[in-house]
This record gives sequence, C-alpha cells and structure tokens, in this order.
Amino acid sequence: MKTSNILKNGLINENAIFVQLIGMCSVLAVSTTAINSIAMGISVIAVLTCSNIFISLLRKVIPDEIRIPVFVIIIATFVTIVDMFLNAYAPDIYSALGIFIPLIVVNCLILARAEAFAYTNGVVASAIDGIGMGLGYTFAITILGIVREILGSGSVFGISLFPESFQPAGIFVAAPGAFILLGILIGIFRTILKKTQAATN
Amino acid sequence: MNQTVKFVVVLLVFGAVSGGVLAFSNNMTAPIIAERAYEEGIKAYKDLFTDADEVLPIDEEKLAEIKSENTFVQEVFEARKDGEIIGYAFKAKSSGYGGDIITVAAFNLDGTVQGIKVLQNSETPGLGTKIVDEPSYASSFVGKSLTDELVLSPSPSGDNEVQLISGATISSNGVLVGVNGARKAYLNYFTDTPVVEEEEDDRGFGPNGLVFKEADEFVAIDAAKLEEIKANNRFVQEIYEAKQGEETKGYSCWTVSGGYGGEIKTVTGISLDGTITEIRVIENVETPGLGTKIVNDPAFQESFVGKKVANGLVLSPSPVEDNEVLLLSGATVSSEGVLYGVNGAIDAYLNYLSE
Repeated sequence: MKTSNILKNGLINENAIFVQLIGMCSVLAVSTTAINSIAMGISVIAVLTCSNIFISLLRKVIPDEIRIPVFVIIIATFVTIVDMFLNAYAPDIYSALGIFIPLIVVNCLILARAEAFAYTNGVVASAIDGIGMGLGYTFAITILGIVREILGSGSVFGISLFPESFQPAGIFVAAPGAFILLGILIGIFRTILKKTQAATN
Repeated sequence: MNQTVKFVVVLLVFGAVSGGVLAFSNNMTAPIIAERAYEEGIKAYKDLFTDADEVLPIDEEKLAEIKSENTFVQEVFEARKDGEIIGYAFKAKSSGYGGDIITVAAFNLDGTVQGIKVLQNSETPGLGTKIVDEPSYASSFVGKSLTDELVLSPSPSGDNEVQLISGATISSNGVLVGVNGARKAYLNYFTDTPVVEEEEDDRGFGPNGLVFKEADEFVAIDAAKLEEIKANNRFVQEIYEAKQGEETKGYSCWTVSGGYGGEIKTVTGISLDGTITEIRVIENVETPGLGTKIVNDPAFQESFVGKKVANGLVLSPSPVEDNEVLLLSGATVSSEGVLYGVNGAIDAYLNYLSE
C-alpha cells in the first residue's frame, strides 16, 4: 500500500472516530475545550506510532493465539515508561500532558491498530499508519473540542468570542452535550464522505 | 501440549522483560521525580507564605507521629519570619475522581487558612481539572477559619464554606478532604484546641451504653413483641431493655426517620419514670456544616436529657418547658427528623412498654 493511501485511510476513509467509532470514551471525556483536545490528540499520535512500531517489530515472535495479551503487555509497558520518563526529564510537557497518559492506556484505538495493522504489516507502514490514525483521531477530537468550547463556554482556545452578555449553554461542556454533538458530527462527516466517494466513482 | 507450553513460555518472557524494563526505568526516574516533587512542594510553601523568610521541615519525629495517626499528611513545614514561626504548611494526599490529589495547605497561627494549592491531580481534563484551572476554587479557601471543618457550598459565604465547582463536585471534595485532613493535624498537633473525637462507650455496649450510662446489661426485648411494635410504628427498628443488676431501668429504642439528606438513625433512652435519659444520633447524611449540627452541636442532644415523655416532644428555639427540645437554626429539617425518631420511640414506649 502506498504511503499516501495509508495516511488518507487513517485521516479520512477509516477515521477512527467518525467511521470506525473506536476510542470514543476519551473523545467524549476530554473534548471539553479545543486545547485539551489537541493535547490529547498529540499524546495519542505519539503513543500510537511508537506502539505500532514495537508491535510490528515483534510480530514474528508473537504467537498468533496469544497475541492480544502480548499486545496489552507491550502497550501498557510502553505507556508506563513514557509516563515515568516524561515526569522525570520533561516536567513541563508532563504537567501539560500527564493527565492524558493514563487515559491512553485504556484507549482501544491503540489495541485496534496493533491488531488490525501493525501485526500484519512492516515497520515503516505501521509507523505511517500510527501517524495517520493518530492524525485522524486528533482531527475528530479537535473539531468536537472547538464546537463544544464555542457553544459551551463561548470561547475558542481560551479566547472569548462573544460579549459579556452571551450566555453559553452549559450542557455542551457536560457529557450529554458531547454525545449529542458527536452524533451530529458523525452524521455530517459521513454524508460528506459518501458524496465525495460517489463523485470519484 | 507443546503448543501450550510454548504460549506459557512466550507470555512469561514478555511479562518478565516488561517487568524488568519497568523496574529499571522506575529505579532511574523515581529519585528524580521525588526530588522534583519535593522542590515543587517547597516552592508552593514559599508562594503561599509570601511573608516568610524561610520554610523549614519540622522535626522528623513529630512528622512521623503525625503521619502514623493522620493518613492524609505527607509533609509538614514551618514558615518563619525573622526567626519566628508564622504558620505551618501541610502537603496532603487524598483521593479525587481519577486518582490521587496532592494539595498544599498553608495555615496561619491565628487559625485561618493562608492559602492552598493543588500540586498534582489526575482528574478529568476540563471538568475535574477546574480545581486547578479555576482560580476561584483555591482563592475561596483564603482567610477561612479552621475552627469548624471546612465544607463545600455553591455560593460560599460562611466562615467555613469554600467553593463547590459545578461539574467538578467529586474533585472539589477530594481536595477538601485533604485540606480537612491537614486541618485536623494542625489543630491536634500545633494548637491547644484538638479536634473532638467521636465519643465511644468504653464498656463495649455501643450506643446503648451512651444513653444509659448506669446500666450494666442490655437485653433485646421479646422478638414477637418487637414485631408487634414495628407493625404499628414505622420508626422503631430495635429495642433493648436496660438493666442494672436484676432491675429494669428503662428502654433503649433505635429508630430511623427521614432528615433533609436521607435517613437519620437515632437511639433514645427512656427510663421507667417517663423521662429521656439521653439520645444519640448515630447515623445521618445531612448537609455538612448545617444539618450535621444535630451531631456536632452538643447543645442539641443535651436538650433532650430529662424531658418528660408523657405528651411527646416539640421543638423550640429556646426550650424551657419539660417537653421542649432545641430547634437548631439552620438545621430545622434535620432537627425535626431527629424529633420524629424520638417521638416514635416515645410512642412505642407509652403504648407497649410502660405499665
């Protein structure tokens, strides 16, 4: 598969959030503001790319029947190490991203890509897949974060958009608002996707 | 078979390698992380005590003593100005929604909060993290009095009320629990006014022993009779006969009634001459700082002592008659809740137990 195809797959055609609907818990929980969404997205890109590389490297020695527990061991170990080293050597990054790292361990997107791609593909392709899928995740969560922040807090990236008199709708920062908006966004994204696919065919 | 052995070996190898790598990384990073956390603490103490020339760790033995009794406190520092101690700073660890929360709480010698700072948390970004992102939370602690346990309020005004952040209730409370833990350590170890501990009957009779201090034996009343009482009295749960030697002195009646926040469990002691010996509220889920006065304000439970049960009891803001007990202002519904239980006990006593 061509590099650009793998990237496009992750970003659009098989977008983790809008198309595959995996890794949703963190999306719903974290996307309260645009900046949180981007931070979470960056963390996912980093961890997903590295875990894909590791799994791909080790794919020949992992027996087929017990691959899932081995994936879990690799991912959990890897994330824990990243957590410790960031905490020790990069305190500034850690204080910004530290709270997202435990959320990544339980993100099923990582396990899904290990299973669906890295286990059957080469190292380079797996790394690109990690970047592509991570970018797709970041894209989706950031859009949701921007919309939620505008509607729920009246600001975007922390910058106030409206005059003082504007009363933001608190529901969009809370969980129910996340579900409602995510549903609408998935609908919009899929409609556009279908139209463009029909057009290219 | 061979296949199974292979799986076991592979998993074992992966597990062992993972464990080894983690142990190695932890050894490498733990001291650095600990040192950084320590420095962060010192910086926070200095930021909070802006007047202080220096902050110093307290005597290690004393810290060990505090830590052995108080599960929240991790570090205690004293802040000095011109050599004089002006206050104490505590590092407290408590549980939030997503994991541990580490908070620094600084207290002045006059028994007020100098300030607090949340050092570490793993709360939900955007919701629980408001405990850090919203400055109004930490600033709502400043200047509050330590006399009473601090409580959360959506619009804090009282001397012991701090901000409850909507959308971050559990996280706000997590920090508060840590600060209250530090408060307790401060009052118990650094002031002359230690926190009053819950009383316990030292004879092992539980709440029964508290309402009948002179009785030496408690016997549950006949089960059939209790069933009959319970069928007609929705408050009564259990009744015990209080005996001194062979002689029956009275009855200890356990009731459950509705308060403001939920059920209130009360034990009422009624002696055979028709007076209340004592009452004890043993369980309640009332609003901290308001409804909980039924337990924390000793005047309330004391106001029941010696009252005549003949006509049932009523509430009064300034009880004088022998059937009036204290109505706590700010805790009206909770006072009433207790009263329902006590009057339920009286009803059971008058109808089924007295001669």
